[in-house]
Amino acid sequence: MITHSICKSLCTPPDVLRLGFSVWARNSPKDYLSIYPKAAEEVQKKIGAKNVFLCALVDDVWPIIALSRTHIEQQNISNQFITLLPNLGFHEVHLVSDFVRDVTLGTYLPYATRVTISEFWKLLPQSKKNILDNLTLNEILGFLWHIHVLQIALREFKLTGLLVGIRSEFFYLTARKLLSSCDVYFINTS
Amino acid sequence: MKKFDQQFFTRDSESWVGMEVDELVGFLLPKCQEVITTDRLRQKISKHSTLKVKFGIDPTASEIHIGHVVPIMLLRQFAKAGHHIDFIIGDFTARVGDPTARDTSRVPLNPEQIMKNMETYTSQIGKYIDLRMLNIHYNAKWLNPMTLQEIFTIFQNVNLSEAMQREDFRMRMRNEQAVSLAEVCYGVLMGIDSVYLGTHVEIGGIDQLLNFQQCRKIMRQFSMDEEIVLMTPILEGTSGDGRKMSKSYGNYIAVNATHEDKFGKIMSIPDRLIGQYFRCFADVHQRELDDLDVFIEENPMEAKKQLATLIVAAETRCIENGLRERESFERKFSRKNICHEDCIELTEDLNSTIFDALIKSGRFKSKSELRRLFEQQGVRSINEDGEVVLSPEIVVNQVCGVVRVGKRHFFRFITG
Repeated sequence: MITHSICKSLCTPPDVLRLGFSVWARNSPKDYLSIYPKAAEEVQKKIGAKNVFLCALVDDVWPIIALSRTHIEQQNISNQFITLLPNLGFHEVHLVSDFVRDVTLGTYLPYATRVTISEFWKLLPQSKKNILDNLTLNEILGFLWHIHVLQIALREFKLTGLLVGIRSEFFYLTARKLLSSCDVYFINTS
Repeated sequence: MKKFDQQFFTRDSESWVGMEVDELVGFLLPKCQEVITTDRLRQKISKHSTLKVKFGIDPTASEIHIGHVVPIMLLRQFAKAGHHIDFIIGDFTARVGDPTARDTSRVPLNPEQIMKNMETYTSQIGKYIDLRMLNIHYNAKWLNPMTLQEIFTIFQNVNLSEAMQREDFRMRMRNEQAVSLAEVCYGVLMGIDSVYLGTHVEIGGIDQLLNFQQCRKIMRQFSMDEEIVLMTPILEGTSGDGRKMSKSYGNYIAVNATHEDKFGKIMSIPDRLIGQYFRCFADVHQRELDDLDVFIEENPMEAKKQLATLIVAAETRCIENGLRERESFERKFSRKNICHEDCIELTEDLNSTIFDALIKSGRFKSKSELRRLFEQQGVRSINEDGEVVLSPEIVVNQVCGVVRVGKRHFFRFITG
C-alpha cells in the first residue's frame, strides 16, 4: 500500500506515531478513505512503533471560498466526515475551521517566497495544464493555504508524519522544504 | 551666457497650486519616458482639483543614489501643484520581493531591516522633497489582514498563465534562475494598494511597467477608473557605458555623498547625458527643451557646471551652495590652485614609497585599484611648474607639492 516515503533518518522509532491525513471536504466522504487507517498500520509495522494515531484534517474552509458555499451547506458535508471517519478507523477528526483561526494574507503569503514557479508548475496536474488559459492565481493561493493548514496541524496535533495519496506526490515534493519537520508516506490509492 | 541653473532654481520654491492644466503637463512630461496616457492625464487634472498621486517604494536598501531620486522629482512637481501625495512604504511587499528588473530573486526582508532601511531612506529623500507634503502609508496595514475570501475574490480574476508569462520571468526561467510564487503575485498586491487608496495617478520608473499594467487591471476589476501612470526613465550611470546607475556597477552618485563629490561626479558624465540629467532633476518646461538642448550642444562644459550647481543647490535649497561648489571646482581643476583644505594630509616616513603611503591612507578599496590608477597615469604631483606623472616606487621624500590621485582626490605629505 505504501509506495515510498520521505523520512528523517531516526535511530530509534518513536513509540507513538501520530500521522495526519488532509482531506478537502468538497463532497460527501467515500468509503475508499478506509485505505488510510490500513496504511497507517502498515507504517506502524514498517517502522516498529508501538502505537499509531491517525488524525484526519478536514478542510472545511477552502470549499466555502472556492465553491462559494454557505456555511450551512458546508456544515452538512463536514458533519458527514465527522461521523464517517471514526467508523473507518481514524482516531481523531479535526475541522480546519476549528484549528486555523488566522486566515489573513500575512500568515501564508510568506511561504510563496520559498517556492519557485518551476516547482509549482511540476505540481500542477496535467489536467489543469491542459486548461491553463482558464487557471487563475487562486491555484497559487490554494497551494499556500494547504501548506499553511498542514504547518499549523503539525504543530497543533504534534504530528510526526503525513499520509498522502500518490496523486498528491508533486504537492508534497514541492512542499517538502516548507514542511521539513515531518515524514511523508505515499499511499497507492488506485 | 544663459544661466539655466539659476532660472530653474528659482522655480524650486514656487507654488504651482492653480497652475493651468497644459502648463503643469508641460512641466511633467519632460520627466517622463512614458505616460499611460497623456490625454487621460490632462482630463484627470482638469476634473480633480486634488489628484491622489501614489508613489511606492520597497525599502530594500539603506543607501540610495540619485537614480532613485528621479521619480521623487516628478512626485515633487505634483506636490507643488497641491495634489495629494500617497507615499507607500512597502513593508508588506518588501517581504515578498519586487521582481522588477531582477535577474535573480530578491531576498525578502524582515520587519527590522525594513524599518531600519525606511528611516535612512526618508532622511535621504527629505533632501529633495518636503516630507510634510507626503502622506506616508505602510501597506502591511491593509495587505496583512486581508482574508482568504478577500484575496480569493481578487486572484480569481488574474490569469495564472498571463501572470507567469511576464517577459522578465520568462527570461529568468530561460536562464534557469528562480522566480518565486510571491513574485508572481507582486503586481496584484501593488494593485490592491491602488484600490485601497483610490489612486488617480501613479509614478514610478519605466522598469515598473508590467507591475503598473497589473495595477490597472486590478482597479478595473473593482470597477474603478484605471490609474494614470507616469514612468520616469532609468537614469544612466556616470561612466557613460550605457548601463543604469547602480551601486553594483560603481557608476553612481550617492545621495549622501558630499557636495564636492556630487559636483565632481556630475562633471564626469559624458556630454550626451547632460540633457537627460537636466530633465530628471530640474523643473524644465517642454517649451524650453529646444533652447536647453542647443545650449548643451554649444556649451557642454558650461552646461555641465550649471547642472552640477543646480543639483547641489536643489538638495540644499540654496543656490549659493551650488555656486560655491562650482567656484571650488573651477579653482582646483581649471586654475589648478589647490589649497590645504582640498587635501587629505598624510604623515609618512620620508623613505616610504608613495604606493605604500597612499594605500595606508585607507582611501582605496584595494591595492589593485591603486595600482590601476598608477598604470593609467592617474597619480600626479602638482606644483607651480605643472603636473608630473608619478610611479609607485617613488619615495615620499622625492615628491614635491600636492599629489592628485584619480580625478578628484588630493593628498599632501607631512614627513614625520
